[in-house]
Amino acid sequence: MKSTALTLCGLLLLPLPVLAAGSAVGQGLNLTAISMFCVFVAATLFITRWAARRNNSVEDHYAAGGKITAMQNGWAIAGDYMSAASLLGISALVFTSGYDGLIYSIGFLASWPIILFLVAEPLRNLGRYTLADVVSYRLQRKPIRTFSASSSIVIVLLYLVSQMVGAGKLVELLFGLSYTTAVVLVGVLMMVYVFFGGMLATTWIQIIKAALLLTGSAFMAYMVMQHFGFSLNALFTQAVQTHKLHDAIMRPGGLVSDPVSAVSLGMALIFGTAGLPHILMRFFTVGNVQAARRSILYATGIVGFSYALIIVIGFGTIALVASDPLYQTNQGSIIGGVNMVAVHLAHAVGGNLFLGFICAVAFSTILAVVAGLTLAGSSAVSHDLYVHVLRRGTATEREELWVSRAATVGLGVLAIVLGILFEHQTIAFIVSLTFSIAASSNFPVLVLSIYWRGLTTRGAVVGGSLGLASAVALTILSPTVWVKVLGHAAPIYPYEYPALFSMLVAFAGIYLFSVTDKSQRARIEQRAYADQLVVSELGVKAAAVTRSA
Amino acid sequence: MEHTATLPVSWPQAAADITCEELGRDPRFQALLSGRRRFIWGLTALMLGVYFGYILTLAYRPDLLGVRLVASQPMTLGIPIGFGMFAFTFGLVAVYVHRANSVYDAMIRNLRQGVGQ
Repeated sequence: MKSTALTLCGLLLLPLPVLAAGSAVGQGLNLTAISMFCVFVAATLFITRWAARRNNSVEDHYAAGGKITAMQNGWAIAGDYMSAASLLGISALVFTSGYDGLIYSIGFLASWPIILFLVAEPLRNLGRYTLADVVSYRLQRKPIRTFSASSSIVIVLLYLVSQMVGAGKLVELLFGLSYTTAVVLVGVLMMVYVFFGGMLATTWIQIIKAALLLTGSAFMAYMVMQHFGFSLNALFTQAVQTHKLHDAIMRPGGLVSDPVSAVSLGMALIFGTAGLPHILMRFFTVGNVQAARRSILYATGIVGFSYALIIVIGFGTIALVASDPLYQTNQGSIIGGVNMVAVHLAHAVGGNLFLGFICAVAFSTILAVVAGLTLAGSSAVSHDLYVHVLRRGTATEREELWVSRAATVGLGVLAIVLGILFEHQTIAFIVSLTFSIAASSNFPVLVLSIYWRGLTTRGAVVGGSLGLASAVALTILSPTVWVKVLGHAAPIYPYEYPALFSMLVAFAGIYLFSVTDKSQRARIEQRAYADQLVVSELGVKAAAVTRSA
Repeated sequence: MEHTATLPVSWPQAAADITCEELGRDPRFQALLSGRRRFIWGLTALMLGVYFGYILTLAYRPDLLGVRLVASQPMTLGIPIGFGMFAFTFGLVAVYVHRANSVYDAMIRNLRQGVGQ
């Protein structure tokens, strides 16, 4: 594995003669950033080698043997959840429109209580490795697992593509490598982590990433505050003077001009997280419900604190980066685009060394997220589709492990190909689409399977599929895609986000197709709820109870 | 996954004779269930109410959040409210964890120990 690390770093340095070296971002190869990144990659490969020795069973591979502590899991959840969109995206949003950046981050954090109150503990008590374990507890195994795995794979693939494209563009700017090299590099690394190290390696990469992100953000926010004598008002005064919108940056702006879109976006953010397979999977890595619960407390603290720092960083970029010609092109726009403002701020407050550090942090952020996604996607393929649907639960552990690894390679290759294909596409809508789909397919089915006795297989599969389809259809017909991407004159669906309607479609569909299901099978499923309830609340299986299969 | 009819090792052996049906009928289980349900749906309603209250304020009365705290300073009401949302979110999570640890875990332990008597 050490030699792999060397090879990878060699690969990174390969384009050296082609590109001119420079210190600032977007001006060719950045050696400080690349060496820091190499240290990070070497460390993650070392962890992978360590984890690979402990990755022997299916339980190890999917859930790190259930031996992750609450504190570790809290950091890992934070690392799994905060994508590159967090540091770079939210600070860029603050940079362009001020207060609006705060609105987004509030929505991202507000999803955690919902997961904790409604989903986390029953999920831990009823399931073992995947979301489908939980929803198939009393429902018909084949159709419900097929649905649940398919919707999870759709979510994982879309999210992966958005991260791959983001990674490619980021690395192009930060390290001066070509887009394709970057996408292949990210894809290969995530395959190596998941293939060999499974959940244990993924967990530690996420922990390290969260710690790096928090350290980097804290240092930057501290330096910004120090510059303004630790007075927020002094920072805001400077920001208001510099920004072309002046006072308007201190007020809510255009982000939520239309109430339906605002509520719709809010619903996607707050309920979508509870349907993201890579997030839900993290609750299976701890030993018990108490640890799952505490890990969310830690995660909410870490994520919330990071977002608060990022808002300060965002205002810092207005005050310190916007007016500095060093970070502008000759035409007066920001070098590398507005997504780079936090990186420029790192240079402004900490010089070249800290700039390199933040570049490496930004990249590590992507690696940790894609590794979690790949693991969740491959487990849906192997555990749900292969073992339970195709083989009806008869596959051996050995087989399951190898199918999971094959799925990891398949997903990795697919993500690389899609990442390269989508280089020049407008993909900004994909992340919100992912949350909308999760909120309209996985979330309703999961919540109703836990809390509604009347749910039947037919209701869950039909309603959940309707929710998924309507989230995709409404997104395509919305102004974001129909007008901005496909170039039509007017949108067919007038709002920016689909969740308000697609969630309604999902819940109504599940309800209707459940209550009208008069089959024998449906009655058995509804009767089985009483047993499921005991297991979901107490976390134990009483004896002499056989589950209706 | 297969739900076999075996109990975790930590369970008292006597419990092996108890069925889910009997556990489900236990009044203490019913008390746990109704108490917990009230608590989690109450907290969920509170979180959703505060969050969508904030979102609807942004949509319909953004000017309220744009009011300056001190006329001579740029700080607006929206800033402490925004950061307050972070604190509120974390606070609710902490309230849940505290109550689950101190009240419901004890009830669950109690139910498990009483099983089979």
